[in-house]
Amino acid sequence: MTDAPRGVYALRARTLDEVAESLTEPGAMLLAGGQSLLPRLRSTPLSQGLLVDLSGVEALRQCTLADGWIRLGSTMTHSAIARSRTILENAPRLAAIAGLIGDEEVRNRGTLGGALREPHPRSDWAACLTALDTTLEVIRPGDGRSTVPLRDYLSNDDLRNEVHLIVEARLRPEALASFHYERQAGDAAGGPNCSIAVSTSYDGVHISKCNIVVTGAAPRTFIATASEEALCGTTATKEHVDAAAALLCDGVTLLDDSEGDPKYRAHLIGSRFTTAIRELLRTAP
Amino acid sequence: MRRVEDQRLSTGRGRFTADTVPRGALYASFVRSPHACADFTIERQDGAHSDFFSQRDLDAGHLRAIPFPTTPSDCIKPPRSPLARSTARHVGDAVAVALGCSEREAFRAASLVPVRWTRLPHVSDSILAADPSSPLVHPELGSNVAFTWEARDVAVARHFEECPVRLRRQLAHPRIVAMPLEPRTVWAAPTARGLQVATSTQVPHIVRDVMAAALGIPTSAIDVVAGDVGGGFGCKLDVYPEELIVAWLAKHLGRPVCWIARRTEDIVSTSLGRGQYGVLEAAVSGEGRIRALRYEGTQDVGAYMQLNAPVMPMLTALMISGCYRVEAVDAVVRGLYTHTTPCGAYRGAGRPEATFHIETLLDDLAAELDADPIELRRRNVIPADAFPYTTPLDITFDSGDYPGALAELESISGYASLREEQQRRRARGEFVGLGVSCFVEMTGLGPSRTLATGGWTQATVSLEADGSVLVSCGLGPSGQGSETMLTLTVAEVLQVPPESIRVRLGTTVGVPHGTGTFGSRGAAVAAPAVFGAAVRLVDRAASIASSLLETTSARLVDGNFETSDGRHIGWPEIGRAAHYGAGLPQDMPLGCSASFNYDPPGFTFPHGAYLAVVSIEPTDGQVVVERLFTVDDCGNEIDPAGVDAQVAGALWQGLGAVLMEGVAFDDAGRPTGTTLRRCHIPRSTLVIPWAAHRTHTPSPLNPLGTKGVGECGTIGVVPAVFNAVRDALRPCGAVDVGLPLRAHQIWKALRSTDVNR
Repeated sequence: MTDAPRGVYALRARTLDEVAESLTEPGAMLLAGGQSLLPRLRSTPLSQGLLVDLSGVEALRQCTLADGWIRLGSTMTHSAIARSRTILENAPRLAAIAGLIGDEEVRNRGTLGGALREPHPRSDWAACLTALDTTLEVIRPGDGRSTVPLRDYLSNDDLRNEVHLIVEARLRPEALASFHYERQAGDAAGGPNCSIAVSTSYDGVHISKCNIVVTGAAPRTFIATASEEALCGTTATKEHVDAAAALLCDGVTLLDDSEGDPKYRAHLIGSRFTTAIRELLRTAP
Repeated sequence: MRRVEDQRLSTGRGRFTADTVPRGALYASFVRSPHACADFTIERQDGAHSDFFSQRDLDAGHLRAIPFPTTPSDCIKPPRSPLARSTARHVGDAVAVALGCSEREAFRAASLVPVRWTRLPHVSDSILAADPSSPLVHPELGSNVAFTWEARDVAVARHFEECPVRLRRQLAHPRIVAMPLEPRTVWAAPTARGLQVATSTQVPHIVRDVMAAALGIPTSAIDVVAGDVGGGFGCKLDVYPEELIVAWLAKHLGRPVCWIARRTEDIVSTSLGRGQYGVLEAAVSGEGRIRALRYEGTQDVGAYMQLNAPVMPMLTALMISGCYRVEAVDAVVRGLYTHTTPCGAYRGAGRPEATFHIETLLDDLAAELDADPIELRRRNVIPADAFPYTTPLDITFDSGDYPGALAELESISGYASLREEQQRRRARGEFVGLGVSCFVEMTGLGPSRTLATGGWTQATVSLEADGSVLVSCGLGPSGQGSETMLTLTVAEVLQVPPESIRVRLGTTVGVPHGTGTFGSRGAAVAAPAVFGAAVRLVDRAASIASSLLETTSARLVDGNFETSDGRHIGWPEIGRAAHYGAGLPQDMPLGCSASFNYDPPGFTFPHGAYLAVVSIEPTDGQVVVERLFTVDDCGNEIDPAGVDAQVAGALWQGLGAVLMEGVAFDDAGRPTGTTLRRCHIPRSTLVIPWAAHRTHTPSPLNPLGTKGVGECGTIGVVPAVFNAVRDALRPCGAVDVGLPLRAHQIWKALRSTDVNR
């Protein structure tokens, strides 16, 4: 159906060093699960360059628990995360999120790194992992390893526009104890619709920190910073929560399509936010 | 028996049109209008050779536009040129075609065709199209009305005067995309004799006949093979301009030419289903008996008239009284041109719309009279002893047991306890609804008098020299399991193992003429034809056996032909003798095959009763179909597993129509949702377990007693779920909802009451 791209060379990398080296090649492109590349090939041919297949790099597929961090290799597929023993035993809710993504075919091919790398308006991982204060380890061309908080990575277009390898995502499993993801399958492809990921630090009286990330509502997954600020330092009374809820979509243009207009979407985000906060306060450790 | 087709179709061994493209084929790519309505010009550089073909070239090359026979014949149907001439009339209307050595090269060549567009006003809605101030789709007609059909009955007015209860219901059934897995695909290659054509179609013989007429060559010069077809659902029962153009290009250039629709292209250029709007009024006696119905329907025809556009609203009108004994019906339907992709047949074609109308009205009536919906239906259905039953619009239902299906539904669903459970859950503040639908559907198209293309099917069953059997029949299946069904039919008559039978369908090569697969014809028309041929083959084989056994009366017993004194021979011996002549008298004709032409004496009418239990989440309006109970009656069943599969597939397709599907157009008249990511179609995640039951009322019209079942699920499930949702919403008065029942629509309906404010 699709023609073989011309002038494109492929490399099956075996080690991280090989990948790092290949990043400096002109026109280097990374291939993980192919879930973004394949649809793109249907409309646009690959430009000339080097296509680096990451599937042979064992180090990128690992999942480890060490020093209190869970480290998820970037080419772990969603289904690998959903069934990983390390994750099921230490962070079962991550496994559950992985099981919600797309459908079986997408979960079997799609990777964590790909999902974070490719900006998508409906991304379960971008929302949940950002709320969980995840940090990425990346390799940029001609550079060593560096870390970047996922929260910054999502809005760092300079970094996102250049070729780079996400090595792993790391997070603290205890973050999941004060985390809630209120999700509803929405679009035709089963992605999240107006879903909201929230994590809080709550000592029974005050909320000292809070992350609120919304996906499937606007052209990009977005962080509701105004609501975060409004809720932080409060005692999370109904008035506080309502005030924060009113700011959720501040300055964001919501989608208007067959799944609903901005009014309906704002309602969904608001009601899911309230549900999420109620759950978090109820189950606070 | 396991389905004959499944092994190859489920292991990637199917042979679809794109799997068989000849080496060295050129690929075609169409330049399509991005506008709902626009005049266009294509610049040609003087003297330079252009790399594309426009309608001017097709005219010069004598590719004719064939006015396809339509019913009724007085439709106003402007001739459609294969490519638009100077005005594009819908997004996706093809204006030129370019070629390349690969799909991509062709696509690029098409993108370079210099088209200059001048946008014109458009109308995308059939109700608006009727307004005299709306833009005209075909200005030469002076109006957007494509056709009007009516069945008037003055008695209706009297009933409306006399009856104490009158009800009026307006409903729209939006246009939906058929979305077969395999998009439309066609290739054509010149041969010494003429043209070899492969196309993803439900009607190979009709494609061949229309193609021959358009190209001006004899039908005997064209072979059309459909092969495996990855879903049709009615949208592949038209002959499309692309098929004719590809055939013309192959003939004109002397090269194989192939076209494979891209997904978005397929969505905007393939017939859309449904697209009806209607007003149904009922006059009802004080006891809740419906006396008379008045129906006014509007079919969105789209920009051009497809083969079935007029047939769909006619079928809706003819079936508007559903399973009910009504004394008078007055119906008028019309078709309106709009600047949108043409509408055509889609699984059910007209009957789902009729059932949707009458069944919704029944539930409104139940609410109005404070009666139980099942009890009210029981009061109105045609009794089991009234068959054959002729409706006020002169349609004769062959057989059925509607009260029986209702009783079965009540019993398998535990209806009374479901109602009690509903009361308990409502008391807890939950939104829970039960919805019932009773339906009757018109299949086995059809008697030839009703179809311009003929409604009969011919079948041939041949005994080969080695005793194996070849069945050929002019069906064009797309996954229905027709091979299995016909294998079982023949195996039973000939008393041979199914493994010794091969079935040839979906091709014009070595197959007698047939009008293809649509309208649940497989079991109701093709199977009786094959049965008739098989019975005649037994007669023929018996005469050969008698000759070989030197008797006069060899009879088929347990797979062998026996004489009264116990001597016998089997099919392989007969096959050998018949083909090689050994042991047969000189004057006996060789070969052993029989053909039979079956023209059904009337339509068959499968029926059923469905029940859905739904709940609604009031905070976001999500509808959850919790349980489904189905009772189908399609007469006798040849392959019960195949019937299961047809009901299942149709159910989920129907769930899509009621819960999510519907083509919307933006202000510029462009369809939204033209990619798989944006187009809502039911996915596997929607599937819930359901209780499927059946009753069996054989059709008296054919010797097998079959009726066909392919479309029943889509017909029954839409009103069942729709009624259930309205039942769930009724306590708060928010019943004013329409198709599709998407969450935001339900939420808005709830918001209009005080539940969510």
